[in-house]
Amino acid sequence: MEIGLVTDGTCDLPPEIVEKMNIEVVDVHLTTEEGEPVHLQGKAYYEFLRNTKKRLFTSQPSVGQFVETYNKLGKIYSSLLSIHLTAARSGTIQSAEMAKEAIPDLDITIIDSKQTSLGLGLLVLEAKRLIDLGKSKAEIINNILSIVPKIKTSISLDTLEFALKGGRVEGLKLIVGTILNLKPILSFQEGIPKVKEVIRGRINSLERAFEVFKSDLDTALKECQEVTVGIAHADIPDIALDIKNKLLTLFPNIKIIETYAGPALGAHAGPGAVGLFLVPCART
Amino acid sequence: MKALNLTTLIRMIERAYDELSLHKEEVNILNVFPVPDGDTGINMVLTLQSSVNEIMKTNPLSIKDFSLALRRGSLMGARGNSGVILSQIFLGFTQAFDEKEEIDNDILKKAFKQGTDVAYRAVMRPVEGTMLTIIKAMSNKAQTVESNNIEDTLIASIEAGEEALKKTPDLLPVLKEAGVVDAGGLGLIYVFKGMLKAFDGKKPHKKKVPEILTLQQEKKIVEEELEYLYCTELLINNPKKTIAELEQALDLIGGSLLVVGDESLIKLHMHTNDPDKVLMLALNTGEIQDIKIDNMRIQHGEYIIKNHINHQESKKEWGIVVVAQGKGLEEIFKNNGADMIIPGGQTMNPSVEQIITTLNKLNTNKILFFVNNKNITLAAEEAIKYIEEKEVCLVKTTHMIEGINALLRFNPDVSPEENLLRIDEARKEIQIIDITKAQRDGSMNSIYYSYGDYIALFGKDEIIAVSKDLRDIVVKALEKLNIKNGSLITIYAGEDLEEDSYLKEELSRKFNAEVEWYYGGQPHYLYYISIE
Repeated sequence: MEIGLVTDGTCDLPPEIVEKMNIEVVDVHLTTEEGEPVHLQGKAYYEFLRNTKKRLFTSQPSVGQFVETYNKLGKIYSSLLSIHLTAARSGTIQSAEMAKEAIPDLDITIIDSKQTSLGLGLLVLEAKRLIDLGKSKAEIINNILSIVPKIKTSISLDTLEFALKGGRVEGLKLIVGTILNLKPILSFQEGIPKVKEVIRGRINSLERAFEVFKSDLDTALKECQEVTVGIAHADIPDIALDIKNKLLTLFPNIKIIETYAGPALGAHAGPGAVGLFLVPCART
Repeated sequence: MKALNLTTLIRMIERAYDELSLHKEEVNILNVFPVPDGDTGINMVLTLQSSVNEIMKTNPLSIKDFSLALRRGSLMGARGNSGVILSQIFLGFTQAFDEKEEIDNDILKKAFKQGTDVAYRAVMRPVEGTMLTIIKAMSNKAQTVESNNIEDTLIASIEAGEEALKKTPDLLPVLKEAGVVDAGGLGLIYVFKGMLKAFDGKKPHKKKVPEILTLQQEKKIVEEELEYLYCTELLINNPKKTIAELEQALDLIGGSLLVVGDESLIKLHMHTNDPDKVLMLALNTGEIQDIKIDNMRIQHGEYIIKNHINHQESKKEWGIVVVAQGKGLEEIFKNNGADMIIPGGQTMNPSVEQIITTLNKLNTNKILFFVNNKNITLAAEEAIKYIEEKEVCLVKTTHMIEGINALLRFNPDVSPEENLLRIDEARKEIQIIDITKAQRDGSMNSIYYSYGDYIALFGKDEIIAVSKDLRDIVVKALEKLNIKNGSLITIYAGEDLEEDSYLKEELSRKFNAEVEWYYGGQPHYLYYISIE
């Protein structure tokens, strides 16, 4: 093997997949106001999120973390592909770039997924698939870059509270302070999570998010042979499963990964959110 | 103090950490750039913490070892943009320390400069009005201090930093809009104030930075005396001089110097009164390109004008006018984006003149006008004919509740055509029932009612239910519709009606729906009920 794969902790890929596929994950940091690190996962994390009155802060990996990771992998691989969450909303890529500059002898390519969570995770898996197929590095990079603008997301929030505290979503201003109980649906546009629609009612919002995603999926399937789908939920496993089953009924042949949204997306979307991601596969 | 030794340097970093920790919340609150996530303070604190830890761990015996530990600790622990920039400032500072055994004022001045340069170079697209601006201002001031006392230099540069901080909103519109100064910049000032506390002597004697700096007044338009008149920028290909040599030479010709690049290409930015000398020097260094010389006095004036226009433009492209009746409903419209309300509805139609006056009052070029009642459509169409120089887009909603849903779907970022489509869609997704009291005896579709009975109207004013009980009429009317599981039922209660939580619960249970209750305050209609 000669191309090593690096991503960051916001990719939300289940640990067993990451381990099996030899993907190196650089941790992002989650801390309380006091700077205490938070290391909880899954349900426990969301319990904590619901109960804590304090703000949580996410921040990019340090340059040092990247230097260490790159140096470690540099001993095994001749070149590295480092795919990360959107540079428009995080400095992770900047940290990675600085680490790359610090080790000029290593061949490192850094790619902005313009996504997070499974939008990033599934893109990394696609890169892995291409590596395993023995594609050349240039070919892999071209393929991945051409997939990035085709990734679709539809995220339904149950509460505005966390998105407002986190401050990374665009377009919330329009609905802040409204007395109506509104549920926004977000999507990533050029790497920025934006409010695409506001819907009244929880069920209506989930249905609308599904409808939007379904039509994106229809379009994507017409254009590509294959897509993979990710469902990342913030502690609503039943609803996520329901969505998965509905999708499988409509599209029996697609591959779906369903998982808890990691602490980073979770802290910004808040409990009860669900994100739907589709990543087209490269033609091979 | 004439020079800093190892012990003082270590104490300075520790004090910087203490001081910033103390003020981190204040810094967090200001954070709006580049991403308003309120973590600048904590990121900078964590970066410093990592520096302190690394210094503790390595227990340096020389300034050189201290420098290495500070660089490593801050770089490895750098969190967030502000943390990264802070680490680069430290990197530059310590590069100037080199292998010295003591840091005197001359070295400190160089350190300021080096710290600023490295920080600017590290950022792919340096933005003014940020930490970078502050460190630059501090550094420039430090260069002018004539005393050989270290504290004098630090105090002078902190004061210059505070001055620069106050001006950050003028450099970065997002700060101005939020009414704050730059968070990272404030953090940086606390870092240096902390450092100063490592000496027992003097403290910054000027007023301290207020708790949260907000802009109370409009920017005063002052014709400032500019030290340098021309902003000069150019690129030099295959330079024969190094960045350092250029900096040294250019330093004598002007200020705000920024020379970045490598052996193949150098970018030069500076403020000077002698752009000809700059060009000459550049020509003697290599082939030049992309030359830009701006008169900053004119620029300054233009900036003010542009800023003013931007401010107005950014305010709004679309104005939204709605016809509404009822205190609660007016409130709902307003906080969902309506700029003006024309009072009126079923029983009180606004006049053409009233509509014209309101539409003219709004100072946007485009107006979205929700009529919310079919009895008002004609008057609205007539009124629009008299509106000049404004594009009025009439949305023929037939009910206030339909109007609310339509308004929620409006998105100023998409085309008017798409907006009309979205609005139309929203109207189709909702069903509305009106509950009112019969004003006389009568019948409709073989439904008989007497004076004073509650009646439920649906669609084109069709009576679908009658009852003598207010709760009962709501349930009966909803039963007539085919309500899907998980629907949202919203009740807008009429004038002086309070929330009926018993009814809410009953509806939620009976129809397996989400139920929301708002005060509408409309006259004559006890409830407007929407189902979506």
